[in-house]
Amino acid sequence: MRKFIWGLVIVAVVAVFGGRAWYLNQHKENSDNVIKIGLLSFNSGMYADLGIALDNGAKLAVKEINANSDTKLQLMIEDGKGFAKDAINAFHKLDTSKMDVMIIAGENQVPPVAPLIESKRIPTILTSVGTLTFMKNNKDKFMFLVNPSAQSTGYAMGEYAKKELNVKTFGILSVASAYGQESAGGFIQGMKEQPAIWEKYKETDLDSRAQITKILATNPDGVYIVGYGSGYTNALNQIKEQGYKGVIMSDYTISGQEAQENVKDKAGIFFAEADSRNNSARLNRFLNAYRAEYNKDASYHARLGYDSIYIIAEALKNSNNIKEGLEKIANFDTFSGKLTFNNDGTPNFPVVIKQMQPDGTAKVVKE
Amino acid sequence: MTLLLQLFINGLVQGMPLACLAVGFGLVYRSLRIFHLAMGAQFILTGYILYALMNWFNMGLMTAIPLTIVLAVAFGALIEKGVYLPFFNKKSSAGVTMIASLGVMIIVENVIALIFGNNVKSISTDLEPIYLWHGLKITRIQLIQMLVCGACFVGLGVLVQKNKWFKVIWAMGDQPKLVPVMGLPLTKIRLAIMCLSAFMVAVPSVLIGYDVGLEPHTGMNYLLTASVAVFFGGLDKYWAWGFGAICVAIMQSIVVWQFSGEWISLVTFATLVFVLLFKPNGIFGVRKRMEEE
Repeated sequence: MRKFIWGLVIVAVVAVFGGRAWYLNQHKENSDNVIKIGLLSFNSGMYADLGIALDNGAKLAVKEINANSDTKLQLMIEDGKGFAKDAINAFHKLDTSKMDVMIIAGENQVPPVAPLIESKRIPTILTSVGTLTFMKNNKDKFMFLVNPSAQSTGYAMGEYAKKELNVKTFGILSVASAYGQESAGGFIQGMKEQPAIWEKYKETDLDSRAQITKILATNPDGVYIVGYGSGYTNALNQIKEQGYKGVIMSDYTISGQEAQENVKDKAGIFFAEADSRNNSARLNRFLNAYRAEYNKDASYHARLGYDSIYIIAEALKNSNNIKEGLEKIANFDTFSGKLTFNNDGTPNFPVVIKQMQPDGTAKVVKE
Repeated sequence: MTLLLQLFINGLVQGMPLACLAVGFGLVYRSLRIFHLAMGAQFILTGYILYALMNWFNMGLMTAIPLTIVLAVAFGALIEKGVYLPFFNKKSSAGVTMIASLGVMIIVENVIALIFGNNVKSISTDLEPIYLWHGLKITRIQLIQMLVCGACFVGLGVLVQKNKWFKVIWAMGDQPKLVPVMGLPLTKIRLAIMCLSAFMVAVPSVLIGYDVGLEPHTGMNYLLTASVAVFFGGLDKYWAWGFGAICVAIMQSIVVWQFSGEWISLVTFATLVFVLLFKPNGIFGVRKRMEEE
């Protein structure tokens, strides 16, 4: 008898939920004017604050665009938590909701989801660097990277170091991740020389003195330190503490908030980043709107989220087919500079070389 | 040769704070038989208390450090009163207590991340002065870490040898039921052990935090390294914990001589497993008779 009752309960539950799903599917809003954007974010876990900022930036952009356009954007956010398994589950959830276009954040979330993007043929914006390997496998070109690639900024820095700073021998200290690999790889290509030594740290490392000691023992003309997290800021502090007098080079992480707060002496450090100097009016407008909406300052990830939505809106203006619209984007204003996509979906941002000044500002030394 | 010597010095400097952490872990594990995972929480919380006192309450470093250590010791007492003792009274297994300890660690870590964010926080704002000696370099804060932590480790070591209460503490690990039978206050002794352990964790925590900054997810790494030091040296001898800590720290530093820095943990734990295969009780471990175990 008990088995029979349990069986009835299960049948009833299946019937209720199945019926509801069928009803929603039959009566779903199917307007051509609503574009469903799936945002596969990472708003819990270790880097939740970055993911939440990205979500907030995207939400703000959707709000602005919907207030001024007939085509309405619907943002659906799912949390991949920065892990492969959760990212795949989040992707399937978004896919069930029939998204038209997707934004995916997080270096660790792209590898497991990239094959699904290709098979489902969903135009996708990638906001994370360290994803070039997957861009290379982007056979049908459904992925579009909107962050200046680590490889391109690394290359520009390497080229400048060789030609202008007369760096002949160099060491590399990079974060042990795809981002560090790409950035350092770009630097080596730009230098057209192999490093005397290449050491790595983990992003959560607090002490890189051993690696720095080993690098400085080779007496390099310059050291390229690249990455993020506490490992990055401490590496810069510790190489300065060691009294190193050669050229210290880095990437655009040095201009970010974490480095601003934690790198104790940035003066003299060279770095490459996308040229965003013409965007101050748009940036100020965004910063004010973000502060008014969320009562806090917008971080780099908030800008990426905001930019990603506006890039999708621009693609919709270009074509009814979002993929084609993205391919047609040219010289579009973003916070990272004027965006044009290369044939493989990587961005072609103009890169400048800057040097940190004693007052904490960065001066452009090469356009 | 200078490189190797410099790496050795770096390891030696890092060995002293690690010795204090090993004592913090070893005291609790040896006497209360608790795999004290919450020590990772104590380690990170102490650094963040110092950060909060200096940045939120504008305290000077010299005022904030003693207050931080007092608060850290109070937190150690709280863990005992709120978590370990209730489980002990309920005669819970070591595994259950360890899970509870892990729970404390996870809760504290996440609350800290919620309040302070996941980004690294620096306590000091200036670069440390560096001392040079025959091409070897050491920063001021490294020197302070070595001296202060070294003094704490040696000081407590002398106490352990001279004070009769430490004999009770040591015996407790083998026969906890004998303590009340002998008319000794078991609850107070447990509390004292937790406070002493918290103190030995707090001292390196403030110094390491001042040196390299704070990150909410580093507690487990320090905890594991400290536990490795204890098992490597040998669980039953206080001085062996320090020996283990210095060996592990030097090994972690010298690994970089031949391998990339990303393999430090791998080499450390592989060495531990290798050593324990041949010396299951650690380098200075005491081999016990079967009926003692």
